[in-house]
Amino acid sequence: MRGIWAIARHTLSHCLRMKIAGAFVLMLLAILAVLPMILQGDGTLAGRIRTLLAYGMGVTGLLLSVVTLLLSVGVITSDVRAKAIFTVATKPLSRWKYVIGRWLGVVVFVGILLVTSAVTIYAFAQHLRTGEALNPSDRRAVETEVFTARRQVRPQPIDIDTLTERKRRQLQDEGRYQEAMKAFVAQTGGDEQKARSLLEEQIRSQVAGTAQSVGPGGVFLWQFNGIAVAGNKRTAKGQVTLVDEETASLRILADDELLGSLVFGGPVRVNGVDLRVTRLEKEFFEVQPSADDRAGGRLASLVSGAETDIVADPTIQLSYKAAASVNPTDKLLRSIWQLDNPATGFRYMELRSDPVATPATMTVSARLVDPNGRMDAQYVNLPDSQGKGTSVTILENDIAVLFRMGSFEGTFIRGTVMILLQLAFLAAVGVAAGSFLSFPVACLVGLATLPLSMAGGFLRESLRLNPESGPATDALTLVGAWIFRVVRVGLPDFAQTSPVDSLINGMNISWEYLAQAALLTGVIRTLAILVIACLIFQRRELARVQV
Amino acid sequence: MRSWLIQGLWLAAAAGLAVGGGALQRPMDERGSRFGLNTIDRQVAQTHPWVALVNIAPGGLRAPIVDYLWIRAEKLKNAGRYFDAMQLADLICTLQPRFPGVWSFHSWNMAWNISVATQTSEERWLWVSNGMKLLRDKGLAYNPQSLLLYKDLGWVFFSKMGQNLDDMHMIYKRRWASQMQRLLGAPPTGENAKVIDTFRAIAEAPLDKNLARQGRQTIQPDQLAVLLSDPNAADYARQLARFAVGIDESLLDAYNRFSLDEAANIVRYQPPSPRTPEERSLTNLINSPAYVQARGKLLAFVRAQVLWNTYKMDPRWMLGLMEKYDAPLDWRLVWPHALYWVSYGMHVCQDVDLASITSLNTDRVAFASLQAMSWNGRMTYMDNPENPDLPMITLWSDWRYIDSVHREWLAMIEEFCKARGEKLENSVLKPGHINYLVAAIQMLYVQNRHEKAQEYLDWIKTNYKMTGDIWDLDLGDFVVKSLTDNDTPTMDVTRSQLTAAMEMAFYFLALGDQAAYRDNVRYAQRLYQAYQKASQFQRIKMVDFQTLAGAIAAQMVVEPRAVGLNLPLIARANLYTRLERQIQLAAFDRLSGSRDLQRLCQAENLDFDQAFPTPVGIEEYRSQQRRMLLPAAPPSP
Repeated sequence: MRGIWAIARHTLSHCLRMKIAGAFVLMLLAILAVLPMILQGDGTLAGRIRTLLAYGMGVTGLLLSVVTLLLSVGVITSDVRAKAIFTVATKPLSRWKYVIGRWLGVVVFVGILLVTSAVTIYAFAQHLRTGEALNPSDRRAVETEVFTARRQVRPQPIDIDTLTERKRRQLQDEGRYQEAMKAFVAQTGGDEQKARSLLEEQIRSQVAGTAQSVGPGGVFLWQFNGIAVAGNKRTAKGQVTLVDEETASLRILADDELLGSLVFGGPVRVNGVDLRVTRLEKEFFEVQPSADDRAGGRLASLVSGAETDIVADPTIQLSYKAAASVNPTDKLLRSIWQLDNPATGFRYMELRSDPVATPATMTVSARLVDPNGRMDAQYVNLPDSQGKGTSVTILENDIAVLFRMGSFEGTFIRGTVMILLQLAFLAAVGVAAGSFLSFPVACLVGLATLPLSMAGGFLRESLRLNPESGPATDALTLVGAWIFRVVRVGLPDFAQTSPVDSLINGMNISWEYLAQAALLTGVIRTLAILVIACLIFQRRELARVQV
Repeated sequence: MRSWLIQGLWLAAAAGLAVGGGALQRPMDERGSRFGLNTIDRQVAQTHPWVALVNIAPGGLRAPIVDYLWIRAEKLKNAGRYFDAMQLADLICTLQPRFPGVWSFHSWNMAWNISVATQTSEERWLWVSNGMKLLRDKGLAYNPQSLLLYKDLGWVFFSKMGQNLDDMHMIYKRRWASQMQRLLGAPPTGENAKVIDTFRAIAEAPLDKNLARQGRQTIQPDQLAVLLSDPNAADYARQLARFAVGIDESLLDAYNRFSLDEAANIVRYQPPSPRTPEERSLTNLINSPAYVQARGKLLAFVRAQVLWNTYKMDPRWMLGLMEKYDAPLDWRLVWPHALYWVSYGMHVCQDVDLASITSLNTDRVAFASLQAMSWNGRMTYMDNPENPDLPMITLWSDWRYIDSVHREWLAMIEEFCKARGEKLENSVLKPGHINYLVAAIQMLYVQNRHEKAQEYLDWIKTNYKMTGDIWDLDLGDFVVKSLTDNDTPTMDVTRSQLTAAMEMAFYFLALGDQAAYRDNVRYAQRLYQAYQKASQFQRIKMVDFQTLAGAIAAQMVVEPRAVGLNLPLIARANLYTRLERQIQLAAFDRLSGSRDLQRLCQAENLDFDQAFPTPVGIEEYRSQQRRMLLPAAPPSP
């Protein structure tokens, strides 16, 4: 181990002296410094922070990947080119230790750079967080959709098997099953087994489609289980600024963060009295206490200028995507959502209009979840602005409840570790290439690996063969697709394991997921490449001229 | 040969080649530009070096980068994640700056698709304005000759903001009105010439319209120097500078806060209230009669500069449109902007001057905008102290546009007939023109402009040879019949006509013109009866006439500015006391609860109970109303 560490330390100082590393570090720092100033997002505070996280982590990952490849290739090839390898080879040090030491040194170096960049991005994001939000819903998005770590649960699955069985029996009773079977047998050229399987598949897909669609005025019902809200109640002081006798409402001035925790129509506790938010603005909210509360209760003392104690519940999000059989004229689907706590009967209703087939998110109070983590949801399909209706489909996979289950910081750290795992893999590729190729050729190999790993998803989609196009697909696309398939077996898909999406969406990166990624990318793949690198370098004739 | 000599020769050769290359570059650039071979032309490269860099730096990778960005933008959109949409659209457009379709697509995406996916009005407006700004501030800067982009921009104003297809269309109208109110103030009420003359000062203010410097600075320093060469303006600017008010947008802020001019004062609930001695001094300076002319010049200058550099609008073209159509365009509305961008696009791209712009050669948006202003061209704007970006606005029909629209119809039909060899009365455009004129006659009639209404009725009969049926009726009958002829008139149409007629009636009553009052009430009653008679179902019938009239009267007494009138308190008291008893009873409870009215009485030392006395029989009226609200008793067995 001592030998490996000695080489690693030497590599670290070697990296620090390399001009190319310095150039990239300067570029990275300059970009990180400029990013918060040039990125505007969509004009909302949440959008700005998300853009910073996305571009900051993205640029860091990309630049450090290039640096890692260049350094890992350079540290070995420069030794060979400058013949410094002879002095190392004559030392009582195994060649495999030299290779591993070189790799470790590069990983430590880029690890330091990564941590520095991550801390900078985190600091910028926290700084932006203190900025002015567009409105309370923007502040709420910052706090509950970005600076959080959420998990999602899907509703209780529909029992498609039972429904399919019921439908099959009904068709058989009506004699339609047999008719359909005949048609399928004819279609499959007499293969009865294939015909049955096709028919069963069709019935199943019809049943699934029907179960996940409702006509105009129809109602969807879902049950969610396993919602474990980990957020805390937010407590703050507010100041009454208006007591409106006409509307019997109280206007309370409160800070940005508290307002961000409130939901229009949602609950809020004022001086220990449970009330509903009847108006939510940038600097204040309004409630309408009952006459009893105002007369003798704990709100009796509330006059203009009085200070109040406010408690806001933690929130959860319901995300869904509704598709329409026929697009409404304005392409908006109108609905009423009703969410219920099955234990207490606490209810929340919201009238919504969402664009067709576009994901939407609704933030509601976590009080809708009972102590066993259950919540019921109901969706009423309303007619459009012209009074016409359309069937709406919400697939099981298109609806979920998201709830906080950890801190943003934890996810951020785990995300950074995931990037480090990617860099470790690239360092292994660079070291392996440098162990038998000259610097330019090894760089070429390394830099070809990078886009294949980083833009795997994009390439997969671009080179996807369309089965319908069949022989019409041109030869170049076919060759490209097959080469990509072969290469992909050995290369990880960084796009799939990138933590950036989780960070900007406030989704939790669990320890289990990190461990899985570490095992696959950090241990199996990296180790495999390092073993290959060690074997090659072990057998390599160091005195031979390389090309 | 000595080495230094060899080096010198090589150096000379290198310098010669560099100079030669430089000399050849220009003709090559010009040729490239002529044949459309340059991605980035010289002007864009000079005015937007960042765009030139972004386009040249990626080299051959530009195409795959653009592909990647498009795919990412689509993926994020499909996932409902829009935080990056603006940035990605900007980047994609910057990588293809001379491709108008790309700008058009992304602008549309933001203004139409992404905006409706958001649930709050702030976010909705943000995306609509992002889409609009992408075209106006960037797309047009790189493609000043692209008619498509001008039309798209006009369409954002006309369709997205102007029409009611989006359930938040009023939010867009209010937001836009607040921006323009801050910049231009309210236009003067009155005849077209007065409105146009007020705008002339802005059009004639010093402004350098060199596109290369547009938007670089909000105020062009050299033009400011031209303005300040006037000693009075310079003196006033010095006085303002003592209060940290510059010749820039801070002047507009100070003016909007403290000026007593009608343009600023008419939209306020309360007069300006300077809090500190310094604010009081500034208020005096802003309203000082000694500086009326200088103030006008400075304001016009700042407005022209902001119009040109921030809103990318040419004040001269704006004035030209007002003069061409002889129309009192209120730039706080969205339709004049639709008209502006479409006509300006024609001018820039096809070298069409104002006189040659006709409804036939212009996009339909221009004509439709002009027509829309007949129905919505008059705006009542009231400040919203809780949210200045969302003022309370009401849109009213404006008879002042009728002549212009009629002229446009005629010019269009004339050209059309000439092209097809048709006679006027056989033109396929005739029904559309008649429909417009009939609606205009209804509007003029209800606004007590009977002569003008008669003029248009006669015009239709003479020129389109319309006889028989409703065309032989007198004007009053014609209006009622035309409103009720096609099945039941809609409640919206009846209510708007009825409201307008009663508002006019009460206005005349406040002025003491009993005859005009009675004329209008009679018309409103006829309309009401025709509607009630034609309505087959109880659910679509209106409440009784007195209740309706009482509600309108109460609104006019409490806040006449909301209906576009500026009635002093004494005139409102007169109106109330002159009301018929039944209407007074229906109005009393609505106006007596108004705190604003009570406060106004207090401020003007007027006894509320004397000004608005409780009508006799109010208790009986109230109990009668209560009885009407009770559910019907079950039938006896």
